[in-house]
Amino acid sequence: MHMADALVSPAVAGTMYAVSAAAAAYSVKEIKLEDLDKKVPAMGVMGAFVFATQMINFTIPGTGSSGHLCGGMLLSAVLGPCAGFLTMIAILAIQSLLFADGGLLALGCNVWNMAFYGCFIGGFLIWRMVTGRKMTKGRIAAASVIGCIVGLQLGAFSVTVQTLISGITELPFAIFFGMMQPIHLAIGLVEGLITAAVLVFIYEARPEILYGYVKEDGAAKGRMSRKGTVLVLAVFTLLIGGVLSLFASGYPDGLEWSMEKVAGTTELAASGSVYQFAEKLQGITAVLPDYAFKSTDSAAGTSFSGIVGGIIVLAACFFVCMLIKKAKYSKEQ
Amino acid sequence: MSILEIEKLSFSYGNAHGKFQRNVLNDISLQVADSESVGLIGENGAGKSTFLKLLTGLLEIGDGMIRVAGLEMKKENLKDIRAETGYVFQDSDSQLFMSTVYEDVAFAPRNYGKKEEEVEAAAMSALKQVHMEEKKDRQIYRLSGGEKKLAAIATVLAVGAKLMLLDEPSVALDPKNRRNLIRILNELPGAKIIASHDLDFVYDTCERVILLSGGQIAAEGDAKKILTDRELLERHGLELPLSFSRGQY
Amino acid sequence: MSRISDAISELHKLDMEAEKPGWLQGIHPLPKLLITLFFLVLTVSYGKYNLAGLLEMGVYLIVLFVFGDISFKLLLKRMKVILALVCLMGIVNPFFDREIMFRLGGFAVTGGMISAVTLALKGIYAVSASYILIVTTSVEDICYALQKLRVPKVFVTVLMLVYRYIIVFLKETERMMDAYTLRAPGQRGLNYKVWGTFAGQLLLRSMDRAQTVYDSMLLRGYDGNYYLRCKKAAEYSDYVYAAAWSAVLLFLRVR
Repeated sequence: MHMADALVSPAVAGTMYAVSAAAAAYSVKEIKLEDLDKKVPAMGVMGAFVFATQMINFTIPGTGSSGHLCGGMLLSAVLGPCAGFLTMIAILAIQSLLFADGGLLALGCNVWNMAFYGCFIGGFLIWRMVTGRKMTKGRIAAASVIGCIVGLQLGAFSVTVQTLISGITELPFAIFFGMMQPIHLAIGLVEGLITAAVLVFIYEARPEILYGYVKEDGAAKGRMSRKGTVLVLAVFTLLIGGVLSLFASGYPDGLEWSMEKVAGTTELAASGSVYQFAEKLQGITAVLPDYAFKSTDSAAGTSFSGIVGGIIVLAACFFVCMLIKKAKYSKEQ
Repeated sequence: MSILEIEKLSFSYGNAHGKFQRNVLNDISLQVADSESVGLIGENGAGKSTFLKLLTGLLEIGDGMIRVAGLEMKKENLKDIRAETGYVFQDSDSQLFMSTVYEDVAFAPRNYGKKEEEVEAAAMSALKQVHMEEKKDRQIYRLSGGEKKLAAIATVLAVGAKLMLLDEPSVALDPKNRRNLIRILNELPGAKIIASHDLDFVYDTCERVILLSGGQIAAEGDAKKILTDRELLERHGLELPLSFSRGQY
Repeated sequence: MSRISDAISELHKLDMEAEKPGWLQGIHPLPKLLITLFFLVLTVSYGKYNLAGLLEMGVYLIVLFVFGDISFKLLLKRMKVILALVCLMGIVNPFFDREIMFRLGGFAVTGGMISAVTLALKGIYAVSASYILIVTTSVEDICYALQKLRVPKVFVTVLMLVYRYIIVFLKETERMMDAYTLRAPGQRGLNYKVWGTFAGQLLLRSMDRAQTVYDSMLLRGYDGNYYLRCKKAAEYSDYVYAAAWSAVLLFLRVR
């Protein structure tokens, strides 16, 4: 689900960076209220743990394929959602830097799609809803599976929306959506089961490690304040609401907008208010001078000679560089 | 003068209600002189690690008194005491948490608020003492086990620790690195307490030995005298060091 | 577990490369990071049909590849999977966008084809630019640059620690996987019966290690602050590097 840089427009990348940074700033503030100095080494070590265990292939019985661990859910269950979120950002940043797994520019998107939903929705809201009153093996397993599925569904949906708003792919929304969601339903189920197995094991071996575990009666108490919960819920609702209404207004004819209509058109389906919205976003954030270049970016500006010109510039650049380098090299000899 | 004075120290693990309480150390009194090397031996679970952790304040003492460099073990004194003691963990990877050797060695002096020039001087002198100055910019994960151990020792030397506590320092070292470590430890001037199962190692680095058993000091005295006392060692679950037991298997 | 050992050897190689002497390695990490991001923003800002303009942005990559002595072959080898993926991102475009842009002999080049190539090129540029950054800049230096950008210390510290312990855990995981595979011949992954215990054991050990790391930090005067130092101070040439590239890239983009 890691998005590459080329999949996002500057406006989308900038917006998602801002949104993710806001969530990160909130997390930093929140964990500063907890025992921060003790938490930092745990975050570092657990981050490395998740990084490594995500490389283990867990064989899915009955099939030839394998699944992986859901990092956000696991980290939240052990470190708490805020610390888990920050740790996930660190993991994603390192994956992006060292292995080009997800682009640097798309990092904001990836943090949101994977870390935010995994830690706050799956690892906090759902975890708390399900295990809140009483922590049992069954509840932990249920929370893990539901949390992973919901987190991944939201993440996959975000990928679709971000790609379409960026105007990258010609793939119509319905097809893209229809491909992403079911695949991630299966992945979410598998990841959920693996994560459940690990967390249940922890619960049996050393339950006090689990975030929010209270020894006396086995009841869990999230250490996040009620205000925090409400805030997260509010942000979440707003986002989902916003995105959904955006699409609703983008396709006023609802379901009638569909495959046949799309198949007939040569233009990108996700047009209309989605683009207007993107443009508006751009106006608000005003970080990225995307549309300033519009004149050269229009389809009319595309010609064979232009492309040949570009190639010639590159080739010339390459030869000049090589010549300079050779000259310098022979001088040094 | 003694760098370390311990009087009637006791400690037990367990919760506040006194349930599952397990006495680990009982009525221990001990003094360690300024530049003395003391070996701490005993079978698994004898309380060696607990004892070392108490000396650094990582565990809170139950009864009794510990005084390090004249400072009594109390919360207020903790920072000063930790500047006088250096703890070398059994697992070097856990101890070395920075990415390069230099950064790790410089960590403590920086935390004690030294200026960057002083930090560098302290770090370089520490690295020199363990002969690691050439590997200062090396990534930690590219060091061998022996080098990691030396780097770990340098990290505590950089604070200027007068009392060094080493937990199983010879574990997982090959013979050459082990010999090297013995040589370097014997070169270091401060006091040392070396907790180890490796009685040969203790014999090569310590002049005095304390035998812990069942949470108490079972024997104490000259290293050679204790480490050659087969009957005493076997009574406490230990065996003669290999160098004294050749041909006796 | 070839995947894990591959990752370990990759990390080793990247580290060694970032340590190599060279002018690009010597540039202060902050301008290098910012210029990389600037390049990425400009690259993705090109319209989907503006292949001509996008091609010219490659000047940045060519200059750095040639003068920075960075092997393009090695990039292809290392990032082959990622590069293949980015090349395929626009694969469906020709099917949906059939508007003819121009004709080349008898062959009609459609908008979809152009946009697919543009997208692939963007992907290749982005991966290359990030690659150039990481083979010439160590992770600590990037952390230092982040600190300069006022990223909260907590986060920079966690990033450093994760990076420090990745290799330790990869090796531990590899050992455990080897031990498992040796006793479970013919299995390609981890059987579902041991999902929980295998990763759970590793997790418990990690928590213990976290405690030791914390103890070790405490004993060395840690009080919640973590200090990072850059190996070099910013110099005149660093400013020149930043200014020159900003100007060149901006010129290429708005011209």
